[in-house]
Amino acid sequence: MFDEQKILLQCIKNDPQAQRILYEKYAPGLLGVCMRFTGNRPEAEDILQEGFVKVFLNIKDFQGRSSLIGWMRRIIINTAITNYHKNLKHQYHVDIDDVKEKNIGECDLGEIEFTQEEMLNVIAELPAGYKMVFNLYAMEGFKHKEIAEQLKIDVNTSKSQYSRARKLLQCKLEELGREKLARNDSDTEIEE
Amino acid sequence: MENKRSIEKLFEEKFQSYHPEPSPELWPKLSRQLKWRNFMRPSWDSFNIAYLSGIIIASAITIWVLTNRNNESKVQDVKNSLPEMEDLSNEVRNNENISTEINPSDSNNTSIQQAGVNKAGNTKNLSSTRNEKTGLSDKNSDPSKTASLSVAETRNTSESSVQHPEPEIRNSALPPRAFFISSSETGCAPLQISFTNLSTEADNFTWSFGDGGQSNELNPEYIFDNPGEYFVTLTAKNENDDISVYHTIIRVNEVPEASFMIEKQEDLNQNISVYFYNYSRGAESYSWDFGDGNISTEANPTHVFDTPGNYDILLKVSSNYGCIDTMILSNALKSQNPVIKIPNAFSPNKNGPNGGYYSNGENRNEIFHPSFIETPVEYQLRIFNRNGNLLFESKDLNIGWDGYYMQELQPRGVYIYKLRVKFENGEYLVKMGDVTVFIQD
Repeated sequence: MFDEQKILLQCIKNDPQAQRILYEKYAPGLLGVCMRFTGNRPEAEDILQEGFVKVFLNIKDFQGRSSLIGWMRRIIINTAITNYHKNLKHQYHVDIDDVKEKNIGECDLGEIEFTQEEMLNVIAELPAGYKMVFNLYAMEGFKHKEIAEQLKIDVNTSKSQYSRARKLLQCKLEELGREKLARNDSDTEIEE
Repeated sequence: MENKRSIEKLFEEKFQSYHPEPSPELWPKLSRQLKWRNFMRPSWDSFNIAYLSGIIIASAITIWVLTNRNNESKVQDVKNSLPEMEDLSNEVRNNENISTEINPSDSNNTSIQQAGVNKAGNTKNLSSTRNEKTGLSDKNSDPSKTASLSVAETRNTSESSVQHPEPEIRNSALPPRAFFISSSETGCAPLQISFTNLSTEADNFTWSFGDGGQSNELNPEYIFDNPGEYFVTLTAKNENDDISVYHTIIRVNEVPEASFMIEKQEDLNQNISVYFYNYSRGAESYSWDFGDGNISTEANPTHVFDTPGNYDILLKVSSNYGCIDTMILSNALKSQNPVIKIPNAFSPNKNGPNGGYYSNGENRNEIFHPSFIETPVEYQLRIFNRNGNLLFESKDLNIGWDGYYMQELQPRGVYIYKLRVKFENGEYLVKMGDVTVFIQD
């Protein structure tokens, strides 16, 4: 039985076994968060690792004002933001295709279902800044003002990047959806 | 709006229960990192061996430095002192001293071997093993060898009452050690550098300056003419022809080249607009002094001089390495003796167009043309009427305006001319003004 209070106390005492239990319990969910932020597994796992180290090092400061998972999630997100800043210098060179604003108009998602993997791929294709803004605003409920502070950008940049990220995501999903439809059609033809 | 909700919703739905399993190797990695971070954490709760050992190492280095200084001062006067029997702790201490003393001279083994008889073997013993301490002391104690191997007495600072021997290598021809400093390491071409030779135990020096230049002086002075990176090498030699080499890199930066041209344009109020065309090379920043109290840092500035005068215009360019060059254009706007004279009225021939031919120096009142003291190499004269229509254009120095447009005599009145000439010295001159067409009835 998972007794969070007890595990927490043990973790404060630096008990490796309790740390392991806490990790096993929450790592998958938090990895999901990391994956959304990065769109790729290696980077996501790096963030998860760094984040968990911070969690364990600082767990004695956890004051129980929010849920433990909420607190951990916040640490993971902060780690992702730090990671974003750290990587910024490697990301001077953005692919010209990412910069070009194709399909300015709205794209329609239609009724097609997408797998998590497909959606992750779409996220992975976003420019780094867009990824952060979209995740923080749409998924983590940050305000644009907070995002601007965290990412050290202008509030308006945050807003415009968010809307562009949305458009890009929509259009990429739409494109993906059309490809899928076409593929399904040809599959059925073959079956016939 | 429908769309807007759906994309966020889509992501929320998809990722709410997205719990991918982390790779199995992540936990061991995490756990290792955690242990290390915990270990390195500066905290008095977990005051640990890392900090303890850090303090121990720091104090050990301090003690070593202090004792070493003591040794050096005593080496000179204390020689031939025989080793004494020591207790175990001293022996350990002594061993440490030997190894630390000898190791720096390890690289000089060659010269010692050349000079020494069986001292070389001795040296090797000293430097390579600690355990042969007993044998070593025996050899040291042999007075015949103390000529080259002097034994110094050391006082252990921490155990001040105990004395123990300290071997020190002495050799009649010590290995040379090349070393020098240069007055600077980087500068603008041509760069003059003086080198100060600080080599020890050497009496023969060869300098190579990396651009083909050589010298045998003790403290040479050298001028690097061209930009580049130069490998300056000093080879120091002692009487046994042992050599030591030291080198440094001198960086000579390219000097930019300041160059500009000006184009003057005089308006009707005698204001002179001057356009500066910057042809400088290798420069990062510019600073102009127009000579009338105004300055600019633009690359290609435009400046209006209120009154004509003899201005000295100065351009100073600097490269990003701080190398500078200047160009001065003296008497840039000399207006005292105008090179061009332009009449302000003329009266065309009423009988028909005459083609406007004239020759310089000839003053025909039927044709409007400027006269030059110095013949320009390029010439353009244009006439506009008051509506701004171009009536006449000439690029031929010998053709002026005859007062006709499309074979028709233009009515009397005021017309605008624009003259653009270039002189042999590369100076452009643009003049605008008005000319009155006066038709006699």
